[in-house]
Amino acid sequence: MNILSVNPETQDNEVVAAFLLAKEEAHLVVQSYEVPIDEVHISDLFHRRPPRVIQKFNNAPMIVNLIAEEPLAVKVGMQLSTVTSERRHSFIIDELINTSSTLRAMLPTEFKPRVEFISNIIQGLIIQGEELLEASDSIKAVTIEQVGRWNVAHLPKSVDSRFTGLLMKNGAHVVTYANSEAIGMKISNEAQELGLTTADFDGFPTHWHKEKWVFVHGSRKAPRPRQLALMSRKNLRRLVRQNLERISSLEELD
Amino acid sequence: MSQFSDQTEVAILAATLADLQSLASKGSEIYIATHFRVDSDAALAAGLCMIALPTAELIFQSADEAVNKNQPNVVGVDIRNGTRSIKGRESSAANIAAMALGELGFTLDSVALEIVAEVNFVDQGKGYLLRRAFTLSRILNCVRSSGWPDESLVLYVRNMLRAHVTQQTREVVL
Repeated sequence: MNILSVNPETQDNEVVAAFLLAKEEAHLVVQSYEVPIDEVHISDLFHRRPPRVIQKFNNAPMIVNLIAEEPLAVKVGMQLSTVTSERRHSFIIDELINTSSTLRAMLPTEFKPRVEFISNIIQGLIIQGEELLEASDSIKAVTIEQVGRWNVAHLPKSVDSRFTGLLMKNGAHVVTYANSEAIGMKISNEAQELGLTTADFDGFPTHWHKEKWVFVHGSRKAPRPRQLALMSRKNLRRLVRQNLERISSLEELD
Repeated sequence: MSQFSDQTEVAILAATLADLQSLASKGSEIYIATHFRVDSDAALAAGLCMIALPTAELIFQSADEAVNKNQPNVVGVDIRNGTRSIKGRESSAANIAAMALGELGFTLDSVALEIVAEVNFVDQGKGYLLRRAFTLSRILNCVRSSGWPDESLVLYVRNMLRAHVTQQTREVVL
């Protein structure tokens, strides 16, 4: 069992502690003014070895230095890197260090539960980074078709519908998806800003959820086999294409 | 007034919560139903209702199922509209719950109101306009990924909101 010692005056001591807990490099955290402000110490419970000292070595917060040594999935999860390994600024790290609004309200005030909760958030971010990398690999081969003025893409069966955003980042306006759990269509924010809404689409079963931006049937909110929709993956695509062609031709008439 | 306008849904929820408060005071078991795999809207709406109904237990069901008169000890939030359940068609279930609590004499401070407004925004698909990295939705998604079950998410939101919701005591003039 490893004990992490942090100086309470270290700017990002809570986030560093939470990160090392999430990575299971430490199991307990203590605050100590004896630890220099630009260091954290990891020692084993019985002090059998000298403590491992992690030192801040540039102007970036210590958490950024720590993540720099980690695999891509961790960097992607913590938003320090894109899935294509491009470095980026992480607003989530900014907000974890300087908590505001909702995050501040949702964090306990005591140090220990606070660090544990942040650690849970970081664990979740890392898991999501791993999932995002996997999904990104799976959709590399997907092509985006042009239907009138709208770009439409189909999410591979093996990829969870919440990764529609990856195709939208590649330029898709409308993404259809159908896996064992859900069947539906999502319209990108860009397309919504251009005026396309789900209300423009005809032919979908009336019992589907009709939210402002998405059709979904058999989501995790309401688990049902997608067969209940009586619509195959192929038919879903056909219906969406037909609608987009009709909408495009109407726009041309205008 | 449309069938699922905010005012209609607030009236349904306020009446159902008042009814359940009365049932609870007589020692009956009461329940708050919301959908599986709670999102921020469901968690916040259910959390707010739990503040109004401290003895209520949570139940999770399909978002496609309503709660109706045949379940007199249940209130449903962020599920299909019924005589005892609300969805928040025009705004969000959390917004309806906040307004219903207002009708019952609860006051939400600025922190709680800001979270309700944020969830409302996210639920309407405009979350991308918010200038914050951590919305309630992202916080809950992250801790869910780390293994938290639905019930823990709702209870956590309730616990953290409790400090931001107060009940006005009514003065009785004799």
